[in-house]
Amino acid sequence: MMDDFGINDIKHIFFNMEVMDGQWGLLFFGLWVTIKIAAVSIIFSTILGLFVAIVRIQNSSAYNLLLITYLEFCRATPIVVALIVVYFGLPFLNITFSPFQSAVIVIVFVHTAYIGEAFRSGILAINKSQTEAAQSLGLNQIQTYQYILVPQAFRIVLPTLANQWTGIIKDTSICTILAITELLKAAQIIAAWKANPTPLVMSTFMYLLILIPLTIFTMRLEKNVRIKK
Amino acid sequence: MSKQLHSEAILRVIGLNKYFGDEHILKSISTTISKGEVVAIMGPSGGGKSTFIRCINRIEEPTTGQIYFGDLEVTGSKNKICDIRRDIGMVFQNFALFPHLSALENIMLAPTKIKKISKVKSKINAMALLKRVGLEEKANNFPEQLSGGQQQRVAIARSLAMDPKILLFDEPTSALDPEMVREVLDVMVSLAQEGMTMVVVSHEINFIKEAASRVLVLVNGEIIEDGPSKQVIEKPSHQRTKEFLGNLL
Repeated sequence: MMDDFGINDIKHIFFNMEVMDGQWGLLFFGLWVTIKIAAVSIIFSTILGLFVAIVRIQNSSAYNLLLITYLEFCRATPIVVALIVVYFGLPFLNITFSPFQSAVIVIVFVHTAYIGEAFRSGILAINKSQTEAAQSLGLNQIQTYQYILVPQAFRIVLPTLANQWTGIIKDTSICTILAITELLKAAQIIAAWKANPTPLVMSTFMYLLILIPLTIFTMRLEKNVRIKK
Repeated sequence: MSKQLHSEAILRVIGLNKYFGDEHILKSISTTISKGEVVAIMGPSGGGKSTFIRCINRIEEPTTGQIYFGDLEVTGSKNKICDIRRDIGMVFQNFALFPHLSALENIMLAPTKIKKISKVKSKINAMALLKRVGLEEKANNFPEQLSGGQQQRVAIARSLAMDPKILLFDEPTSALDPEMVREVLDVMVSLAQEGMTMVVVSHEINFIKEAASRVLVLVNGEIIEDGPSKQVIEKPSHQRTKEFLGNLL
C-alpha cells in the first residue's frame, strides 16, 4: 500500500500530465529557441575554434600571448558572469545586444576557447611527414590545412567535439537569466504558474530530444571515419 | 662525372651548409646532377644523407648555400617554392600517404587541387599510374588496407602524377619487410630505365648496381666519394667507403 501511494505521489508531482494541458505549445516554442541558439553557437564556435587553433600553431609570438590570455580568461570565467557582463554591462558603453545575440556571443566566446584547444591538439597529433608530403607535392600552406591537416584533425577530435557540442546545448539554459524564452525558461514559467515541477521534467526529455540525434549523428560520423581508415 | 659535361644540369648545389643548433650536419656540399642521371647517396647513418635530400626541395631549410633547379633558385624567395616543388617529386621512408584518402584520391589530390586538372582526366591518369605500379585493383583501398610495399608504390605513383622532372627517394625501402623491397625496387628500376632523373638515398646495393649511374658517399656531412656506381662499389678510393661497404655486404 505504501509503495502504491509513493508511486502515485511521484506521478502527481513530477509526471502530472494535467499540468501540461495546453502548455505544450509554449514548451515546444522554447525547444525551438534552444535549438536555434545551439545551432548558431555550434557552427560559429566550431569554425572559430578551428581558426584559433591554426593561428596558434602558425604564430609563435604576440598573437599567441593574446590567445593564451583569452583561453585562460575563458576557462576562469563562469559563463553566467560573462552573460551578465555582455547583456547588462555593455549597454553602459552604448553597446547593446539582443538577448539572443548576447547568448550566442557568450556561448561562442567561451566554447571557441575549448574547441580551439581540441583542434590544436588534434592538428599537432598528426605526423609531421603528412605536412612534408603535402609540401613536396607543391601544396601551399592553406591547401595543406584544407585537404590534409584539417580533415585528419577533425577525425581525431570528433569525440571531443561531440562533447563540446553537447555542452553548448546544455549551456543554452543560461539564457533563463535573460528575457528570452528558451526551453528551460518556458518550463520554469509553466512550473511557476502551475506550482508543479512536471514541466521541468518534460523539458529534460526535450533536451534529450536534441541530444540523442546529435549523439547518433556523431556516432555515425565516427563509424564512417573508422571504416575509411 | 664526365657524363655531366655533355648533358644538361637539372640540379646544382653550391656550398650547402646545414646546422642543427651547434651540430654541423652538411659541410659545404657542392654537386651537380644532370638530366637522366640516377644518383645514389650512400653513407653511414648520421652522415647527413636524409638532411641533404630534404634540402633539395627545401622541406628542410638550408642554413647557407644555393640550390638551383634548372634556372630556378630553390633557396630563393619562399613565395616561389610551391611552384618549384611541383616539379620535384619526393618519396619518403614512411610512405606518408594521406590516411583519410583512398589510393586513387591520394594520387588525384595534387593534380586536381594544384594543377586544376579535371577530375575525369586526373582519374584516368591516376588509374594509368596505378596500373604502372601494379596496383590497379587497389584504387579504392585506403592506406591502412595496403601492405608497406603497396603503400610505397602508391606513394611513387602519387609523385609521378605531378609529372616531376626529378624524383627524390629518402630511404624508400628501409621501412619495408625484406619480401616487399623487391616490388618497390622494380618500380624504381623501370623508372630509371625510362630516363627519369632520380636521387636515391639507399643502401640497396643490388639496386644501385642495377640502376644507379652514379654514387655519392656522404660521411660526416661531406661527400668523400663521387663517381660511377660500378667504380665506387667495386673499387672505392676512400678507406671510409671501403669500411662502410664492407659492413653492407
